[in-house]
Amino acid sequence: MINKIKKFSVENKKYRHLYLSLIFLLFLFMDMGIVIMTALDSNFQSTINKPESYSWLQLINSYLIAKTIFMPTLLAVITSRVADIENRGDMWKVLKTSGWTMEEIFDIKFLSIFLKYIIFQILEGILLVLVGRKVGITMPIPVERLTVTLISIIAISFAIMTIHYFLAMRYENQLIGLALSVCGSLSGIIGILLPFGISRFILYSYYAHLISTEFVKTGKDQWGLKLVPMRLYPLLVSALLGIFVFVWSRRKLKKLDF
Amino acid sequence: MMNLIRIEFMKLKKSNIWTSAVIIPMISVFLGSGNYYLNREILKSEWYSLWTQVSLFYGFFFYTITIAIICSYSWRMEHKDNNWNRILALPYSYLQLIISKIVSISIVSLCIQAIFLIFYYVTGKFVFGFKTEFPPEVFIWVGISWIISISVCSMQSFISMNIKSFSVPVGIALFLCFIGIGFYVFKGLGENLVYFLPNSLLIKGMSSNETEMLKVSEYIKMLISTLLFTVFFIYLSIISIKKIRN
Repeated sequence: MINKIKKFSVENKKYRHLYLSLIFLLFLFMDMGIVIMTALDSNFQSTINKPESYSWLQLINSYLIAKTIFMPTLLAVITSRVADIENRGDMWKVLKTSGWTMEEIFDIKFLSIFLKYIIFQILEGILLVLVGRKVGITMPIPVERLTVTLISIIAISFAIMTIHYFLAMRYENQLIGLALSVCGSLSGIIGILLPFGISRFILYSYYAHLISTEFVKTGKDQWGLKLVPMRLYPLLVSALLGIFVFVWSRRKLKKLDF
Repeated sequence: MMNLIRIEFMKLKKSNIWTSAVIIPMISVFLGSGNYYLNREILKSEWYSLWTQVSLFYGFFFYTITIAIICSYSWRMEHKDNNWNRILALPYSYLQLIISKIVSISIVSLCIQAIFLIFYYVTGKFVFGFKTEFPPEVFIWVGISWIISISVCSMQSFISMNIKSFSVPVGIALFLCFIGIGFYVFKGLGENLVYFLPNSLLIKGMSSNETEMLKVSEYIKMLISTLLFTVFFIYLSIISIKKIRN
């Protein structure tokens, strides 16, 4: 156990010059930028504290759209970054001759970036609440929905991260993972437009499945917001898929000689 | 010079960038067409309406990101296995080296635009069966956005040249897209703000939000900005190469 903790801290030391914090900061700026744009919109401001406008949920929805667009790229970038440092100078061989097994390398690298990602996600959740309060939402925070949404986002990101992590570790050509992330973002946006029955098969659109309101026609040319029940399948499916891909790719990479 | 460009293409030949160059515009058109199909009751201007839908996310994000991926890939080969030493030992000037990279990436970018245009035409003509004539403005929008993309290529090439990582320049490209959208959308900050970043220029050039033709003066301003950005980033790249050499 102590050995593993030491290896974990060695791994983290390697990341010091990867500017991961800066990358997270850039994406945090983009996610929050979308939320702030929604919050400062005049339509949003005019109905900010009316119960039927679900202001908190509107903010969360805009955050989820930002996640659909930006998150696959962030996950591809960070997984590629941590795998790619070993490709340079063929550090895989150095690691293996230093007493690291392939499973250890796989677990410790993944754990290091996933923990960093969780911190980033919690920070974004806190900032989301702060932005909401700062722009004048006085209504109570929907704690339950917000918590389930954040946990679901983490689970979806876990599943996507395992896929990109495998690609980054398996193929030295990082183009594959990055190109997939762009296609993932696009398919995520497509998923928003497709019926749920179809988009359930698109993992990258699961962020948008967490959106908790929908538009309903209330009169001629008039639209209102309707609350929809919380969707739990993105959380469950992503968690199961993530675990499956993680275990499968761990086994697959063990067989490969780096 | 032609030799250098040919060599660049040889390097790109066996990469997967051509797959990305086909798939990304295809998905963009598919996405826009789906949205057009679902909103046909509101979107009644056939080709123009379809253009606003297909070029929206493509112009805002995915065209730039595809260029960023190609730039990253192109420079990655020089960062690997001390290829920098080999490159610097070639009997070509730094300017020629940089320009050959930008030209080769811009040609790939032109192919992406052509593929995008073909998918757009096929979708409008054969999937939706539009009766109206194909709008000639589309050629201008595709052409001008390709010209603007040269400044994006030079900027991304400069970033990829200086950052050894493959993925970080792509992340930076996404961030710049976001800033570009900000410059384009928030006109309250100044009408001319859009000319101060290649990414916002590209969005304006694609005309995803305004299907009316822009004024000639606006096109001239766009072209001048593109030229200035391209020259500026080529100059910065040459300075960087000199630093690398030292």
